[in-house]
Amino acid sequence: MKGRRLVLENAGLVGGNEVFKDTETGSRWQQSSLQAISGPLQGEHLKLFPFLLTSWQEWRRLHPDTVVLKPLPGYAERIPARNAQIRQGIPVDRPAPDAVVRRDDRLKPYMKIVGLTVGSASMAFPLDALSQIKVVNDDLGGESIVIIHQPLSDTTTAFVARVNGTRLTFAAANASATELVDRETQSRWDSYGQCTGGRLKGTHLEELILEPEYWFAWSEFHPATAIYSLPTER
Amino acid sequence: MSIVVLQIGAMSLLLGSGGATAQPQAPASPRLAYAAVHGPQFIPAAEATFISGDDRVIGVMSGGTPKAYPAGILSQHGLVEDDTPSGPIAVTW
Repeated sequence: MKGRRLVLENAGLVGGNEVFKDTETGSRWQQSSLQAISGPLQGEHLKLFPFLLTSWQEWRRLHPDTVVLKPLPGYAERIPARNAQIRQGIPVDRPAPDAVVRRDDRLKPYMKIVGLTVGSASMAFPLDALSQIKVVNDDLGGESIVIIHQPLSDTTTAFVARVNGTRLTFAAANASATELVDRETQSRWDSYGQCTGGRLKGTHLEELILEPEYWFAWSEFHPATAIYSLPTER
Repeated sequence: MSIVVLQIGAMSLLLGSGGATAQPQAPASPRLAYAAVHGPQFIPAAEATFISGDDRVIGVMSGGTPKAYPAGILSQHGLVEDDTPSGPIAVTW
């Protein structure tokens, strides 16, 4: 932050969402909004760094030479139980935490969404909808975007759907959306923004950073968020 | 415990200051601290026998180095701070 390294520690919850305190200034940082909510840095924002939430199998397929965070002594034994909890998840209609700073009943509190902000516009994409449609071509904050959900590895990615000023519209080329084709040039793409064949081969789409969250935590800190909904069947 | 976000500060002016301090203790008792990790260590994929294929990970490209942060570890700490060639990052769950 402003050329200064911040060391963050856990500092409990605000609105049912994690807060971290930096030991340099004592400012507290809200996870969902990326903003300092108190202290000398109040109002400042941290930046999102590109990351991929995916399965171990998929990450290792993409990066066979990956290294892995080493568990501290004692913690490794509890990883399988943690993973089982994560897999099981939380019932979507469990009430939001009492402390939630702003309630938004448009979706159920614990629905899993991926949030995306482009410019000053935010949109929540429910994973339920993404797992049905797999590829979404949309506009957000004046930008053409594409969201891709691969159900087998439960991996969602997002990109600017534009190459050299031309808007591209994507469709899944197989049922698991591991391959795409664009309507404008019929080029083939992988789900990570890389063109693998056709006229645009070698092109890479600009990546957008998604924020996977529960609806209650996204909506309380993004009050103006839109919600993606599936096109209605005719 | 509910949400996955990754955050970054700007370039560090205090290189090397983050790793040595505040390393969470790993008590011998069954109670383990829910405490941020600073100065994390990494192992080759082949040694990561504690996760299986469908377990969730957060993957990050740290310069040219791919790093996986297993959700089953992150959820026990809330936060892992690390360094990348483009500055310090916090991986949160």
